[in-house]
Amino acid sequence: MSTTDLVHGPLHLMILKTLTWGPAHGYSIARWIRQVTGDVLQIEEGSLYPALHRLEQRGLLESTWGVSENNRRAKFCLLTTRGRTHLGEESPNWLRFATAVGQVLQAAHGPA
Amino acid sequence: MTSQPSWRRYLRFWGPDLHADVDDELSFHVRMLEEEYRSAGLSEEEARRAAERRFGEFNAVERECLHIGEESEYMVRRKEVWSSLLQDLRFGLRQLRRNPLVSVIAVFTLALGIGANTAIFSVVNGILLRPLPYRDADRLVVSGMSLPDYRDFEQRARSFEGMATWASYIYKIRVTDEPEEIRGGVVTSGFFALLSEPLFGRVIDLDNERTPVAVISHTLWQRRFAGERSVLGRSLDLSGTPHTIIGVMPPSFEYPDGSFDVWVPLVTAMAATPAQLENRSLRIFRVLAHLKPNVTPELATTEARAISQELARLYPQSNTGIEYTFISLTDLVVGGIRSALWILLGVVGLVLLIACGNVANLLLGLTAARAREIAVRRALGAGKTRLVRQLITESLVLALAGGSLGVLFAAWLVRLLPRVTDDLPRLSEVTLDARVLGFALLASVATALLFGLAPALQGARGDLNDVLKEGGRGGVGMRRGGALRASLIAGEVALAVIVLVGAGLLIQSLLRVVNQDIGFDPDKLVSANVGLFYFTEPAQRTQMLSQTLERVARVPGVERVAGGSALPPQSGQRGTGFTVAGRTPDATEQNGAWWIGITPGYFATLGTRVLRGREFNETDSGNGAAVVVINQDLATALFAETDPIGRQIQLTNPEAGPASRTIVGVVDDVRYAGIENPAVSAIYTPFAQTPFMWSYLMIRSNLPADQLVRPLRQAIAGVDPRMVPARVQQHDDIVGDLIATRSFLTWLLAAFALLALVLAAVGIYGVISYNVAQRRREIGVRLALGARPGVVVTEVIVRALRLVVLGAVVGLVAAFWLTRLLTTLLYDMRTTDPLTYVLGAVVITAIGFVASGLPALRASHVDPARILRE
Repeated sequence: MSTTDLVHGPLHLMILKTLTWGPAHGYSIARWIRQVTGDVLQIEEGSLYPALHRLEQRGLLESTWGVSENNRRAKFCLLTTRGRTHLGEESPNWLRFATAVGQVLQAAHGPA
Repeated sequence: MTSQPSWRRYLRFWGPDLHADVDDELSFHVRMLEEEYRSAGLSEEEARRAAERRFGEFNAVERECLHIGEESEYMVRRKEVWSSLLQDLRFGLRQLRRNPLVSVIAVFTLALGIGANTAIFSVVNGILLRPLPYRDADRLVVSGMSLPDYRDFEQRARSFEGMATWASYIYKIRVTDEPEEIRGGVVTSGFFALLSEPLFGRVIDLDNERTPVAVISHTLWQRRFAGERSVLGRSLDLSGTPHTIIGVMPPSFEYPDGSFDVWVPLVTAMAATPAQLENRSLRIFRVLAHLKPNVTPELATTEARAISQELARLYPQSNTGIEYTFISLTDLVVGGIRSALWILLGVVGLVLLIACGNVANLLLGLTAARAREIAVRRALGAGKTRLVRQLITESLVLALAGGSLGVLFAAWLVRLLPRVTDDLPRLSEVTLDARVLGFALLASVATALLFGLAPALQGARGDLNDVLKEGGRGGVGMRRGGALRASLIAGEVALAVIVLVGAGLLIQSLLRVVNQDIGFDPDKLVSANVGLFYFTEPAQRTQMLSQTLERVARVPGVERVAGGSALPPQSGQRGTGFTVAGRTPDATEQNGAWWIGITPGYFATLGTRVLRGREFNETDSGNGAAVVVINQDLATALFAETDPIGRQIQLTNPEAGPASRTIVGVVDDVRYAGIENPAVSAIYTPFAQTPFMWSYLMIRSNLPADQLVRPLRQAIAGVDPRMVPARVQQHDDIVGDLIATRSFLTWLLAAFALLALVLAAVGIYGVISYNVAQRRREIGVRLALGARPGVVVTEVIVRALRLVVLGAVVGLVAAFWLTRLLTTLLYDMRTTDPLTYVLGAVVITAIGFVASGLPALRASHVDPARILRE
């Protein structure tokens, strides 16, 4: 797993996961992640939007212009088939990785 | 927050606007944040500020998103270009498959043209463009001097980093039973240091130059030692002196040419003849020098001139008027063939142009037939550029297919090359390397543009209205196309005429060289070299030679035999100065002549005419009166119109002795140094009065050399086995070797001329056939109305010949200008030789007649009834 994967990997996967519930615009994606994590993860807009564009470039999501819940013109993102596959393949890896990091950080014994 | 004017978003009407999109996307987010804060109870103003704070550096985010967006757009565009190219390619291939005959003819025509160009370029590349395979080859210069002069130069010259000298020797070796003559170089210790490393073993250097060691060539190693590494340390007998082999040179080592097989130290080799080491007039030594950085060959020559003048002051007797110059080694090796090779490349380029003309014609036919399709596609909205690109892509497909096939053809030609000629320098370096392949690719692409552009533009111009009006006969733009075709034909004819005239000039030159009078008849003349240096007594040499001649005369198949010290037309072997009693030479006069010792019957055997006086006979023996025979050139130079018989002449070569000699005969000029150089003065003395250390047996025989070898060797071994000749050669072979490069170039050019003619003929035939096919209806109607078939035929031919004559005139004028480049390659004629031009015009007209006559005849067989029913 490369360094860029480590930095962007979780964010990308979280965005893709958010989209499995349906199309969403950037604002609602950020809000959803914040809610789900109980305000622990505050996604910065400075990372969110480049990530969205990067995912679109890689063909993992598509975008379309639509009308938001409060009648504003907004860009909605949709998960593509490739995006769904990617999510399915990568999520288990990240879960394993996160568990492994947890095991290390909570370790009761020092190195032998 | 945003510096973009709001009108920008209207640009989106004409397509997506990346900038506006990103702007909108991010603004929406800020608006939403604002709302969020407002609903949490903040005032409008506070909410806005909080949202902006929350969002952070808006512009930075926007920039990053824009950057990603541009990247994506670029990727999309690239994909589009590739996919449309792929589409064009696929469509092109489909079109070509639909016209397999045209495609195959076009590809083969191009393969021929590109292949021939690639082959010639690989020769140019290997011989001229690649540097010589020596260390710092472009810094090496050469000259020729005597040894004492060389030593003085080595001391005085400041232009060089290193110098070496060497001389060429002929050695007789006997590794197996068959004796063999090989060429060797006696070299100073610096020789190899200037040139290159051995393949393995060592070279001659300061440590071993006083011992009898030898470095051998790669060919000798392969030929005589089966390429075994154990050759190092073995003994090699060079004309009776054993030498230890210490090294083998790589195959690329061909200095100064590929004919050298062995190198030995000069110090050791010349120990037996110390006089040569000190003889300032013996300028048989070749000098090799490495220029210091920043010193040009011109600068070195300037210094050499100064040193020469100093030497002339110090040694007026030997060095007056002697001025040494240096030329670059590259010029020495390839200078003789450089212009010829570039000319060949130019000529083969002209042939390719003709081929392009033919293919362009074929494609014009195709696009004309496709006029409907193209016009419909245009009407449906295909852009003109898009159509041109489509048609050019088809041409590229053709050209690349032709080019690939052409490279295979070139590879075959290059492999064939060593079997056709072994006379070009650096032939082993002619290969299809990356540069040659690059050339082939470039030639293919250029060809595609050349032959594809006109038909593509023509095709894309098609107008739907015209096509529909023509009622589906597919004759759109025919009038315009007709003019284009006509100029193609005229152009092809012009190019063919240029090549034809060039080839004609060279063929005539070759014929003049071959058919000229060289003073003797090389046909059925065989010669063998016998060494007489084993016999120290002069009288003994005379006796051994006459015994040998007696025995050889009895060998079956030998009609006449005589001895002579020269090998015409290859080498006169030895020269002399002379003085004539009662005549003071003027200062400009070249006071030198070949000096040749001959036995009675020499001129009769050679077939050389005796013009005045007599040939030598048995009375001109060692104790007879001192006599000479001179050649016509010398007789004219010395005595003009007066009779030279009875006049006295004295040879200044010390080995001729002090005697004043009476001129008893004048003979025709025999060429002794190449057959393209004019004959020079020659003085013949009776061998019995001046016994040389060697003699050639000149044999007039019905048998070829290879059948004479065995009986000849037996006969000579009967006199003394040491005299057995290593080489028995036919003089017509020697003549053949001397003209090998000339005939190679000539026949190559002739082959190109033939190719050019065939291509031009095919071109004329194609266009006229097409033209006749287009006019079938009209011709049919005229025949039905009573026109005589003969008139139709004449009309078609006349129309074609008008184009041919126009092309021929242009070609002749161009040839008149271009053939100046051939001046140095011609022999005994001018580039403006009228006969060649007339012949060229006649040949091309005849070809035009035949090529247009066939379709014309077919036109007259049109059946009016059928045409009218159609």
